Amino acid sequence: MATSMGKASLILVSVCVALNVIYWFPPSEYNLYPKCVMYQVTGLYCPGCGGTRAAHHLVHGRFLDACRMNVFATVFLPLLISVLVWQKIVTDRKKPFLTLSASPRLQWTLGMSVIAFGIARNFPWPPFCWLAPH
Amino acid sequence: MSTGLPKNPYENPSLHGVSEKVPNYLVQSILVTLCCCPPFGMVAIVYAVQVNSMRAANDVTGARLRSRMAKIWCWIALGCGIALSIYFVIIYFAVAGLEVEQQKFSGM
Repeated sequence: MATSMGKASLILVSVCVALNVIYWFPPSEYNLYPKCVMYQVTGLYCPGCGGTRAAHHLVHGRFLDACRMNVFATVFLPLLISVLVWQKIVTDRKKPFLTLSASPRLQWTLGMSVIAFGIARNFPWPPFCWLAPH
Repeated sequence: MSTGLPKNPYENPSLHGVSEKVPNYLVQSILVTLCCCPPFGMVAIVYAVQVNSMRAANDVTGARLRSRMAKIWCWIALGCGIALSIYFVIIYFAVAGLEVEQQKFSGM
């Protein structure tokens, strides 16, 4: 019990630190964030590109600006994290944190949508280029 | 005993199905795809996605194989991501240092 409390508080503290860093230092002006390796090597956007900028907009409450940077990370990652936390706290405490209990079909859809998003946002024409950070 | 057929619990898919859990590394591979190295992360996702459906079809061996492959590709993606990030940080500082040197020369 004590160790799990310690672990939980450690996670909480690091999340608070991360949120503060992302709040006070906008990624478009500071170089302290790691840049996307894929973008630097190939010039293609990966499914996570724009994620830190989106997080910066999101902690400032600018949801639409965050969506412009990375729709998927803005909408989906908070959802995924809250589902995982919910599972850990309410449904099943004994499970490891990073296991998602969902139907195989839902998990398949999830994984494939990440890949599809990563591919789609690299097409330069209108319906798709809105997915890229802009 | 009176019902006839002796049952081996290890050959009974329903019994087997309840007991054995195969971790699918879906969340890990999604995170690794978003944060580290998309090409290898995508491979990990493709493997991770198959684990649960094979598990649902009671193909434990296949599910375990996919699970292991997903795990391996997650680690490869993570390693590549970290290694390339370090490489780019080094390049960044090297370029910055070079620019400082050039400014020194142009100032003289």
